Amino acid sequence: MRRAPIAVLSLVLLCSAGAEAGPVDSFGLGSRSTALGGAVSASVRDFSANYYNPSGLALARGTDLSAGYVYVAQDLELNGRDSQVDPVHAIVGGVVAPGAIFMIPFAFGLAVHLPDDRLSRARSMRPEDARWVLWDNRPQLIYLSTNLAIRPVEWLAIGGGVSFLAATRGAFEITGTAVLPVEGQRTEYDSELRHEVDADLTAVRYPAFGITVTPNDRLDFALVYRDEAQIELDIEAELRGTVDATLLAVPAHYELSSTTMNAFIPRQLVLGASWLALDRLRIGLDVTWVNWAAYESPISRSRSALDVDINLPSFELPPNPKPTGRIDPGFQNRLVPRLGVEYRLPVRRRLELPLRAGYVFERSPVPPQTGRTSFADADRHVLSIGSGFVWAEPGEVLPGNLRFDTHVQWAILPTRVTLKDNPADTTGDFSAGGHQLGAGATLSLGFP
Amino acid sequence: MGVARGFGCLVLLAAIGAAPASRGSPADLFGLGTRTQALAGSGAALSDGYEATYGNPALLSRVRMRQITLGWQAVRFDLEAEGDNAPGQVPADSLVGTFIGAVLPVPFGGLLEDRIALGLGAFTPSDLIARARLLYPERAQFPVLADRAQTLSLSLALGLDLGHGLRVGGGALALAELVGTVVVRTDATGRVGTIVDDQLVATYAPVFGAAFEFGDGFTAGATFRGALEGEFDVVVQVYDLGTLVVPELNISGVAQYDPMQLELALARRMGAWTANVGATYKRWSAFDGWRRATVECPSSQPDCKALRVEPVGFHDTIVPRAAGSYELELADDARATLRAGLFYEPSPVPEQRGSSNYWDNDRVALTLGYGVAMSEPLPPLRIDLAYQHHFLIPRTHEKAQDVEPGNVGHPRVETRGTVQVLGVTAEVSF
Repeated sequence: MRRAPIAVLSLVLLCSAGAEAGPVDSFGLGSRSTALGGAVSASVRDFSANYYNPSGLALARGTDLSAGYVYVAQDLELNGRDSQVDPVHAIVGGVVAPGAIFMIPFAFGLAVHLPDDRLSRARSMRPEDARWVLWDNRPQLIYLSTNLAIRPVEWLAIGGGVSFLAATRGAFEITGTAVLPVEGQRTEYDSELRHEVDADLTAVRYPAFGITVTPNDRLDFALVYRDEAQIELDIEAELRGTVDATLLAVPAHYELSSTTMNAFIPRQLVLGASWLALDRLRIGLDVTWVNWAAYESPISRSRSALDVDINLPSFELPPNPKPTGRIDPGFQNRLVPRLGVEYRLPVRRRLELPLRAGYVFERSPVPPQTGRTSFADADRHVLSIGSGFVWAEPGEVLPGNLRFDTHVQWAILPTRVTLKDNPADTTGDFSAGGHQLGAGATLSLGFP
Repeated sequence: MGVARGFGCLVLLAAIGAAPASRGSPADLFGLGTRTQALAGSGAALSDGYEATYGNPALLSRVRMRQITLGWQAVRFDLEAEGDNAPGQVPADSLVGTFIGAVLPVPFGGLLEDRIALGLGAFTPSDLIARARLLYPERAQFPVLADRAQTLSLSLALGLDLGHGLRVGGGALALAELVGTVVVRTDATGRVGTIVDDQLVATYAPVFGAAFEFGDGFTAGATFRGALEGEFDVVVQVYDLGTLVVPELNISGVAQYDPMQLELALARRMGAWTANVGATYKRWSAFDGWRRATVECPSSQPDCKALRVEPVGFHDTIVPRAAGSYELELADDARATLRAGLFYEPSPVPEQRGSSNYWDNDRVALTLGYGVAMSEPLPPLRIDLAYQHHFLIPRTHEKAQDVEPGNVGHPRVETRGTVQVLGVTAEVSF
C-alpha cells in the first residue's frame, strides 16, 4: 500500500470562518441608546441596560416593555469596488421588571437582538482574499442577555448577567461508492453515498457586570465589565469508501480535523458618566477599553491525511499537507470614546420630544496587513441622531407612559491603503473604506 | 490526482458544512418544570407560573406577581438491548441541565388590569443547545428517547384572562436549525478553493391554550402545540475537479422533531386535594424520519442509483395522564404540596423488521413531587422537587429473513430499560 496524501492544505485554510463580535457592540441596542452613541452606561434605565449596564435595571422606575427594529446598510469597498457586505436587520426588544425582595430594590431584565433572517452565520473566504474581517460576519449574530440587579443603598446599584452564543463541534462521516461518470452509461448521481452526523451545538455563556453610583441628582457614574467570548467550530471528519472507475475500484480513507475560531467577543471595560447639565439637558460620556489583543486568528488549525490503496502510476498524489498552525493576527487594544447629548423638549403638558445626538470614534484594531493576511478594516467615526416622543399617562389602561424613539446612525470609515511587503503577493496592495448607514425605531410601554 | 483530491473535498465539505440542530425536546419527554413533571407531565389544566408557557399559556394569566425561577434537572438513561448480536447496554449520555423561567404580569390599568401576563420558560442542557446524532439506521440506537432529550427547550407566551372563568393564551416554541452551502472549485492556479456559508436560523412552532373554570373547583384546559422540526440542510457543490464529477451532496437530516400535539385535561380542586386527568394526542405519523438522501436524483435522471431513504412509518399516539396533589399547612406563612402522577406513553415506532434499528418502547412513568411555598414575613420563595421513573416495557423486534445476519438486531432483539428524572426549582416572587 502506498501512502498517498492529498493536497488539502489549501482547502482547509479556505474553510476559515471569520472572527466576529456582537452586533450590539457595533450598531447599538435600542433607539435611545444608539442615538446617544452608546454613551449611556451611567444613564440607561430601559431594556438596553441589559447590554450597556445591567445595574441600570435596578434604577428603572417601573416595568418596561420594548420592541423595535433596526436596519443597517453596509457600503464597504475594497479597491473602489463594493465588497457586498450584507446588511444587518433585526428585531430588538426586551423587558425590565423591577420590584423588591426583602425590601431591597431588585430587577430582572432581558434583551434580545434577533436578526430576522438568521441567528448567526459562519462564512469563510479564501485567506489570500482581502476581507472585512470585523464586518462581514461580525454583525450577523443573535444577542440574548438576561440580567439581575439590586440597589442595596440609595446611591448604588449593582447588576450582572449572562449573554448567550452558540458554538459547533461535531464529527461527520461519509461512506459508500463514488462513481466516475461514463458517457451514456452512468453519471455521478449513481454514486451510492450516505452520511452520518454526530454533532453538538454547544452553549457559550459570557458574563457582564456593572455598577452605577449616583452621588447626587445630577450626576451618575458607571463601571461596566463585559467578558470575552470565543466561539469555535470544531470538526472531525472521515470518509471511508471507494471510487468506482468502471474497471477499477479504489479504496480510500480520508481523515480531517479542523478548529476554526468563528466568532470573537472582546473583553471590555467601560467607564461612564452622565451629567444632567440642565433640567432637560443630559450629557453622557463613556470610554471603553476593548481587549482586541486577545483576538485569535480566524484561520483554521487543521490536520488531514488520505490513504489510498493503489499502486498505479496514473494516480499521482502530492505529499501530505503539513498541519496548519495558529497565526497571531496582532490586533491591538483600543480605547473607544463615546459622547451623547439629550434634550427633552416639552411640547404639551404630558408630551415631550427628546432630541438626541451622539458620536463615537473607533480606531481600527487591525495592524497594517503587509504580510500574508489581508484583513481589511479602517478607523470608524460614528455619528448618530434621534428623536421620538414620550407621552405620559396616555390613558387608564396605560397609567405609565408610551415612548417612541427613532435613530439614524452614520458610520464613516475613511479609506485605508495597505501596501504589501512582497510585490509578488497574490492579494497585492489594496485600499479599504466606506460607510454604514443605520436606522431604527423602538416602541416602549412604561408602567409605574 | 483528481480522484483523490475529490475525496478530500467530499469529506472536508461535509465536515465544514454540517452543524447540528437537535433531536427533540425534553419538555415533550418529561414536561417543563418540576411541578408539571410531578403531575405526570400534564399541564393543560394545572400549569403554574412559567411552566404554563409550555403546558397551557392561558394559565399564565393567573399569575399576579413577577416571578423568576431557577432550577436543575438530571436525567439518567438505562437502556438495554438483548439478542445474539445486540450490545446489551446501549450507551446514552445522561442529561443535566437548568430550568430558567420568568413571568411578568403586565400592569395595565382599566379594563386590562390583572388580565395579561407574559412568560418565558426554558430548559437548557448544561453545555448544549442542541444535539444532532444522525446514525446509520442499522446501528443500535434509541433515537426517540436518549438523544431527544439533549436540546434546549424554549417557550415564550402570553396569557389573557377574558373573564367569566375563561382564559386564553398563545406563544411560540423555538429551536435552531442550520442551512447553508459549501462550494468548492479550482482556481486559476490549480488550487482548490472553498467558500462556506452556514447560517443558524430559528424555527418556531405555535402553542395555544384555553382554560375554563366551571365552578365547584373544576378547570378544563386544552393546549395545542404545532410540530417543531429542526433540520440541518447543507448542500455541498464541487466543481472543476478534473475527471471526478461530484454530485451535489446533501449533508442533511432532521435533528429535532416534536410532533403536533393536542392536550386535553380536567382538574378539580376539593379542599386540600386536587385531581387531574387528561390525555395528549401526538401526530407522529407526519414524521418522515431523521435521514435524508446524501445524493438526490436530478429531474433529468429520476431513476439514478443513488441510495434512497427508507420511511420510518411512525404512527400517532395518545398519552393518558392522571395526577393528584395534596396541600398541607406547615405554618401560617408556609404550606407544602405533595404531588403524584402516572402516565403511559406508547411508542410511535413500528417493529424494526428491516435493517434499521430504531428502538423504542412503550413507557409507563410514575411521577412524584414535593413543594414548599413561603409567604411574608418569610422570604417569598417556592421550592419544588420532582422525580419521574420511566419503565420501558420490554419489546421484541424480529428481523425479516432478508436482513443480513450481522445486523445488531438479527435475528431478534428485546429492548427494555428505565429512565430516571430528578429536578428541583426555586422560585422567587417580587
